[in-house]
Amino acid sequence: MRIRPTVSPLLGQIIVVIPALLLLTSPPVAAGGRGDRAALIAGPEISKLSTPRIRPGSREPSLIRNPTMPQVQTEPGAQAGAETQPEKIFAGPKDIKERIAVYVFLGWLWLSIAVLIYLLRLKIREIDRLYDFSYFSADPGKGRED
Amino acid sequence: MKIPHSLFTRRNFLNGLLGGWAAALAATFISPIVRFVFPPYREPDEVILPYADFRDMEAGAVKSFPWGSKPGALKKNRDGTHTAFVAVCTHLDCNVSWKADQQKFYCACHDGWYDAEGNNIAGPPPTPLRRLEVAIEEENLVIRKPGGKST
Amino acid sequence: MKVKKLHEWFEDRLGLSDILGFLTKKEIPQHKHTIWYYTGSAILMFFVIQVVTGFVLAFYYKPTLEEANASVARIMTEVPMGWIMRSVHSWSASFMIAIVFIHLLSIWITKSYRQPRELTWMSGVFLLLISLFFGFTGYLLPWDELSLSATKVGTDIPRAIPGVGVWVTKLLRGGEDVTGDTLTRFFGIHVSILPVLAFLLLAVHIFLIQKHGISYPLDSERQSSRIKTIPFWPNFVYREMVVWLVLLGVLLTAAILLPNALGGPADLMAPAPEGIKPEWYFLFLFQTLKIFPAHVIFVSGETLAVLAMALFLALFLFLPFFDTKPEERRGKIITASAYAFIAYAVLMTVWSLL
Repeated sequence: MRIRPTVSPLLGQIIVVIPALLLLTSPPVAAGGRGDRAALIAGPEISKLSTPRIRPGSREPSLIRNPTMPQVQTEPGAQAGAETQPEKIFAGPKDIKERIAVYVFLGWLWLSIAVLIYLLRLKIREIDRLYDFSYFSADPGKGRED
Repeated sequence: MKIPHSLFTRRNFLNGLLGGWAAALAATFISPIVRFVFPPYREPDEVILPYADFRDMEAGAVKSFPWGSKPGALKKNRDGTHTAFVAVCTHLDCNVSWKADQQKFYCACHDGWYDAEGNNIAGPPPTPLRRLEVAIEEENLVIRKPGGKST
Repeated sequence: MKVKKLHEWFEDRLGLSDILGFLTKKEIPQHKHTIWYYTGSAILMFFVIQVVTGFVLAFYYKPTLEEANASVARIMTEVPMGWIMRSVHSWSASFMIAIVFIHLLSIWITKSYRQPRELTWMSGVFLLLISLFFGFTGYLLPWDELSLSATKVGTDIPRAIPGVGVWVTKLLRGGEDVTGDTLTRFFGIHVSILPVLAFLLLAVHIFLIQKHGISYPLDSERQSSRIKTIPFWPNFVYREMVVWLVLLGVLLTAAILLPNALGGPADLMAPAPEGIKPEWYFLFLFQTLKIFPAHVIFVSGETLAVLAMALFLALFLFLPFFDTKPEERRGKIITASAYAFIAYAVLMTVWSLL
């Protein structure tokens, strides 16, 4: 027996649309292109005048796009006064152990979500059925058990 | 061994599964937050300072140096060697001072006294001041945790 | 049965089972627009995530000109899990504002703001403004080049309002220019003033919803006796949990796989970088400002644009007082205006990115 589609396909489309919109305007990775999320929204590299010096190969900070490593490029702003061109700091896991941990976490997360949704659907089915044949309203002496 | 009735109902089992798995998932969210909130504090294994700053110490003089985020005390002994202490009182963590005229360390918080070797002699401190190893290597004064190896 | 006794002890003193009883009797209608009902609690979930990640980030963030950028850099590189916390906070802000807009549009289009829900709508509009202001003030806090420029532009806009505009700008900036004082001020606004206001308004908003019950959209108003309803607790809440789980999964995946970078510390004396852009939810306003000509007769284009925005906001806020038709009237003009707004906002946003 199918659950009535209150948790419907439309919902799934909305869930996909939001991140898709955010990812949609993916800038080409030009010289000095940032490739980070702010750049996705903000467009290509904003600073031509004080172009941050970004080492080649580390332009794409995310795990998806940059399978080669380290993300941290430079000392934080404490040195900025001494440097003429402040460099950008990319976020991400520092070493291979952390990267694996992150992927394992994401896998566990989605697995858990799938299991929990399965169980929740069972609960929804149960509670809907109980409500439909007036399990709760018929006898005033009956309390809710869950 | 067959038991006449089940220990728990199917409903209870599924409820337990749902609650338990949700709790496990919640724990995986809590643990990064906990790690974030309790960052590891690492004391340095060694501190390297320019010896030039400490060359001209008289016997019986004490100069302070940074040991991570704690103060350290470097004492020049009468035989010309150096002894280094972590200048933190072993009672309740106040920073101690050096009384040169009495050649003793003094903690102002609760009147604790240590002698020139760092032994606790009066007041509440329960143990002597922590010692550190001192070595002079080329132009540098190297202060290490006791028993530690040079990098 | 110790647990039962403990339960009874609290029950005698707090009487919370009344609340639960109310929630079990509260009915949620099931119809083709039921899906929009999920947006409210989704916003709440993201808000809670913002509060929690905000709390922990504030443990390490230093809101002064000299240290802000460095402290964020430290969070991202030295503090364990720091980059994840910051990334989640940033992504969750975007998700929350996106769903706030969806929520707003659904109420607008289904005309749920009508009598007796006018105050619910108005408190909602103020919550929208608070959310946007959260985003605006939070954006400056990393104190990198991009955020400084965006703040300079953003705090300059109120200046175009005749009369009080200059004072609004001075209030926001802590002076004539954007300085370290602006940063500290924005931090105070972001972590104390706005949260207090948000909680107060949320309390009012949620109370009013409980008081008036969930609204039935237009078509179904006529057939309200024939619509199936389910109890809020636990039926609807279980369904909401499914939505929360999916949204949480998408949020964490995005935050972990696409963390945002940090530019070098902003230089107050440097010339403005090219291609300044605010966060995505302000892009359509930004583009609107750009398309107004510099002068229209003797009035500055910016003043006109700002006044137009203020007018629109006023119309928006008092919408329930314009649409006082009884429920049967479909309100096609207002529906059309909602779609026009969507089209305009999307168009302007896309244009600003080109």
